Amino acid sequence: MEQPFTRIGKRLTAISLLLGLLLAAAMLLGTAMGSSSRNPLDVIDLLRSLGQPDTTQFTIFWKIRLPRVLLAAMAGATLSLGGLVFQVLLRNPLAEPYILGISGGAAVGAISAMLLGIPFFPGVTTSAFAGSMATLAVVMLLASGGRAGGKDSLLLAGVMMNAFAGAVIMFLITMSQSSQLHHILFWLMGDLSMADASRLPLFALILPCYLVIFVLARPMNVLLTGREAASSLGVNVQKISLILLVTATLMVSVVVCLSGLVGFVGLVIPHILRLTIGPDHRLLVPASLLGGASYLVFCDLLARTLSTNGELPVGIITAMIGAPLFIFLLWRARQ
Amino acid sequence: MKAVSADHISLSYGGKQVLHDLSLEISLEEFFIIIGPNGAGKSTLLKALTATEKIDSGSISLFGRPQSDYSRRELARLAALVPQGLDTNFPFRVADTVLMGRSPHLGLLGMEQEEDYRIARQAMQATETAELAHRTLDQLSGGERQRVIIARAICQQPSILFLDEPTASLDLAHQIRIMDLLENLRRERKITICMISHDINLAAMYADRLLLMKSGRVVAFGKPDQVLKEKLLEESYGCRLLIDENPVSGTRRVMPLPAKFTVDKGR
Repeated sequence: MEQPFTRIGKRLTAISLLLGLLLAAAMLLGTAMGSSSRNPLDVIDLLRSLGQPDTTQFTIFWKIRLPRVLLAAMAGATLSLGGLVFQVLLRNPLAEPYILGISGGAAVGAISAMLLGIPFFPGVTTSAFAGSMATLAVVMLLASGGRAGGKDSLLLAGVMMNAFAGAVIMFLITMSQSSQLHHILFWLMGDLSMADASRLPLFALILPCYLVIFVLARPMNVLLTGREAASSLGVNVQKISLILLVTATLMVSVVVCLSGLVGFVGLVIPHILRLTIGPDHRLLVPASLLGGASYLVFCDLLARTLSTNGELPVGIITAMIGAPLFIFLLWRARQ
Repeated sequence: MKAVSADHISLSYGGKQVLHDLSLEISLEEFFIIIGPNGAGKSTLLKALTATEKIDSGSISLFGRPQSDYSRRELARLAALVPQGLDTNFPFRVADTVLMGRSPHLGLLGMEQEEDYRIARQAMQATETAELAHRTLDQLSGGERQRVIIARAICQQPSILFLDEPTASLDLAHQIRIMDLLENLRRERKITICMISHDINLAAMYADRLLLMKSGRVVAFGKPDQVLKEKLLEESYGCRLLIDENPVSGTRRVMPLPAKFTVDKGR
C-alpha cells in the first residue's frame, strides 16, 4: 500500500536546510550591502576584509551591520512565529499580532516607560508586555462576548484596539516634552536602526520561547480540529492555550521594544508556508522561524538601500507587501 | 467491573443546573444509547463522562477506577470522543488526521513509529476511509468526514467510544453504515459504545440498553422494550406517538403523529 502519511523526519530536514540556506544568503547580503555599498558583489569584498581587522569594512561589519542583521532576523522569526501561534489559538488564519492590536498595546506600554525615563531592561520590556497582555485580554473579551462572535468580530476588535492604541500613543507623544520625539516616531513605524550589540542579550529571553512553541507543535495540530476533540485526545487544552498565549505575547512584546511596529510579517510568512508545505505545525514552526527571519532581513535590506537620502523604516516595506496580501486573503475567504 | 459508573452526578453552567443527581452504569462491551428531547443535557452528560466538563458533585468511575485518578493522557488512551462535527478551517489530510489519534501514546516530541502508522492504516481500513487518505478534510462529504473522525477515535485504541449524534445529518444508507460499523467495532475489538442519538428507531435496533433523559434527569433506563413505552415517551417528548413493532427486527418502532391525526387516537 502506498504511504499516505506525512513523514516528518525527511521533510523537516529538507525544509530546514532549504530555508536555512535562504536565511544565510539573506544575512550575507544584508551584511555586505548598505548605504555605503549598494552592489551585491560587495559580498566578495566583505569576505576578503574579514581577514583584515584594521579596515573600515571590518568595523562596519562587526559594529553596525552584523548586530542589525541579527536583530532583523530575530524580530522576523519572532513576529512570524507569533502570527502562527495566534492563528492556532484563535483558529483564524488572518490573526496576527499587529492586526490584533497586540503590537500596538505593547507600543503604548513601551512608550509610557520610555517617556518616564525608565531603563530599557527590564522596565520598558515589562511595561510593553503588560500593555500587550491587556490589549489581548480586551480583544478576546470583545470577540467572545456579544452575538456577533465570529471571525470578523475578532478582526474588528483588533482594528479598534489598534486605533485606540494609536490615539493613546499620539496623546502621549504630544503631551511630552521629550527631546527624543523624532526618534520615537521613527521607531513607531518599525525601525531597526537602533540596533546595536547591547540589545542582543535579549535573545536570551526569546530563544526559550521558540523552544516552548516547538515542543507544543503537535498539540497545536490537534487543537486546530476543535477544543473538545483535542481534550479527548489527551491535550490539556486550557493549560496549553495559556502557555502558548503568554509565550507568544512575551516574545512579541520584546520585539516591539527593539524594533517598533513591524506589521504583517506574521501574516505573510505563515500563510505562504501553509500553502506550500501544508498545515502540520511540526513543519510550520521551524519553517516560520527561518522564513520570517529571512523575510525581515531582506525587507530591512530594501529599507536601507531603496532610498538615496537616508533609510526608510522597515515597517513601511512590510506593510506595503503585507496589507495588500491581507486584503486579498480576506476577499478570497469571502468567496 | 463496569465500563462506566456515574453516581449521583450534578453539573451546572453559569448558574443553570444541567444535570440533576444523575446515576447510570454501562457494562463492558455494551452498546449503550442515550436518547431524549433537545436540551435534556445529553451532550453535557457525555462531556462529564469524558472529563471534558467538571462535575459539581457525585462521582464517576471508568473501568473500576475513579475518573479523577486518571491523567488526561491516560484517559485519552482509554476513552475516545467523537464530537459533533470537526473544525475544517485548516486543511489537514485524512491520513494525518487519523494519525493524530496516536497523540496520547506518543512521547514528548511526538515522533510516530512504524507501529503507529500500522494502527492508523488499520483504523482507516476498518472505517473504509483508506481510499480517502490523500484528500483533505474540506473535500469530504458529511458521511465521509464522520467516518474519518471515528477512524481517528479508533486509532486511539480506546476501550470505550463516546459519540455525540454520529448519524445526525446523514442519509439513510450512511446512517446504517455508521451504526453497523459501531456494531462491528464492539464485536471484533470489544470496544464499549456509548452514543447519543436522536433517532429512536435506530437506537431500538442496535442498543443493548437505552437511557431516556429529560431536563437533566433520568426518566427511564433499561432494555429498549422497557424504555420505549408510549406514555413515557409522549411525556418526555411532548407529542403524540405511534408505537408498533418492526416486523423484521422485532424491536419497537416509534413514529411522531401530526396534530391532524391525533384526534382519532381515542384519548
